Amino acid sequence: MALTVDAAAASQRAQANVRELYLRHAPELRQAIHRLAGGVLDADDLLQDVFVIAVRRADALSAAQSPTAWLYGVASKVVSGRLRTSRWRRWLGLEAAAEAVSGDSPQLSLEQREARRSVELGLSKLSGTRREVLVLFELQGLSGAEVAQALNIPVKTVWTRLFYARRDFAIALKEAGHD
Amino acid sequence: MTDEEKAAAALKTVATIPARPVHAGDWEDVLHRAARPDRSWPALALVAVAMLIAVAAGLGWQRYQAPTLSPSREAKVAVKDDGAVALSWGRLEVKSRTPARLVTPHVVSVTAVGRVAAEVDSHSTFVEVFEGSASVRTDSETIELHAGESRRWPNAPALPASLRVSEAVMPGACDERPKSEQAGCWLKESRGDGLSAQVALYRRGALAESLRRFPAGVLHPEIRLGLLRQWIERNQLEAALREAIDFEQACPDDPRLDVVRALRRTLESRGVH
Repeated sequence: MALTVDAAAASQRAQANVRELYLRHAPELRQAIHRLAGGVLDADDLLQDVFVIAVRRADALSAAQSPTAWLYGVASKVVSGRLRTSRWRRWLGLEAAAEAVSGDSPQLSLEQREARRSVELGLSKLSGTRREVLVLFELQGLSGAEVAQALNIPVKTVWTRLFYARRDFAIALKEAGHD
Repeated sequence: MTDEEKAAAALKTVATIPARPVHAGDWEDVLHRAARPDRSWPALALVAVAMLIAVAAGLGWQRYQAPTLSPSREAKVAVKDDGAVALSWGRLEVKSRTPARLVTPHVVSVTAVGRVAAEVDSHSTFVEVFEGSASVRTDSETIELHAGESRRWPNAPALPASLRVSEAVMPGACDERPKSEQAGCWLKESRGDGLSAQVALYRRGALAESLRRFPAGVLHPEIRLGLLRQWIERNQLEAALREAIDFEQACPDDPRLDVVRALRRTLESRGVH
């Protein structure tokens, strides 16, 4: 009986922990999801998917070195999985392509809007793995170690991918004629 | 400013864009969804694949088990509602690992396992077993045939002894000749128009010609019985029945009339008409 009460209490604690993470990180995670998905998926829906996983795997989240990196890692996997199935669903005619709502605040300066348009175009030219590193490190502000944890890759690989991602991104912007 | 610097500046600017806040109430949606049992897509996909494999295997097995039918060009074959194969004319070879049922106008059913052929003409069904066995059921009997065996239905009745005519009762002039000359001798004799010609035609086996040329000749009962015997031996029972009826009408006083009549009734009782 005591064990049951303890387990229930632990579960409630874990859920409260996830809720706290949700309130603190959900806006940035949704923004990251929108950027990772290239604006073609419903970021609100995917954000819910991420936190559904977090609630169900609250123990793993609590044990993570960086809960933030853990959540970004889940978001990255959810996005890549959904992009994969979405391609098939569109090919089969089961899903129509739709412009998703951005995760950014609507209060933007002209400079920010133009920069965002350039970045979205540059990101669309990158491979999935390079885009992930660039988004998490450059835009979401994760450290190299956190990106490595999120993507489950060595830190050195993060730097290598980041190097090529920056180069490809600059080339893409140049080719598109964005100054 | 280099391209790299411009790109870095764009990234830096975008990184400063604040995120749109989420509604606190959305957390309740997360909890609600988390409480629902998860749809396991991989499991569903596995079940779907397993079902497809099962269906494909079932169809394959059905095809493997299904009999192979090889009808002749003129064969008339139809598959009945109960799955039995109806053969009304021609030859059909059936190859089957499971019992395959065949029906013809002359037998109730042929249940074949292995390689079995059936041939149907206007008056009979011939069944031949190459491999395996066949169980042939008629109105009166069930016969098992095994590899190498064959049989015809309806089977011809045994010819009564009194209808068998030996050549000794029909001697002719050519009997005295050497064997090598007898054929030529009978041919020459048969060109005449007397009794010797009738005997010669009989000995040559030209029974139909004899009956055409001498329909009321001295030997016409023997000729008719010879034809009757021939049809029976060839299992052409409809022709035998017609011949028996002709004999009854043409030879009402013949002492063998009762035997012929009994033979005709036997044929009719076997479904010959």
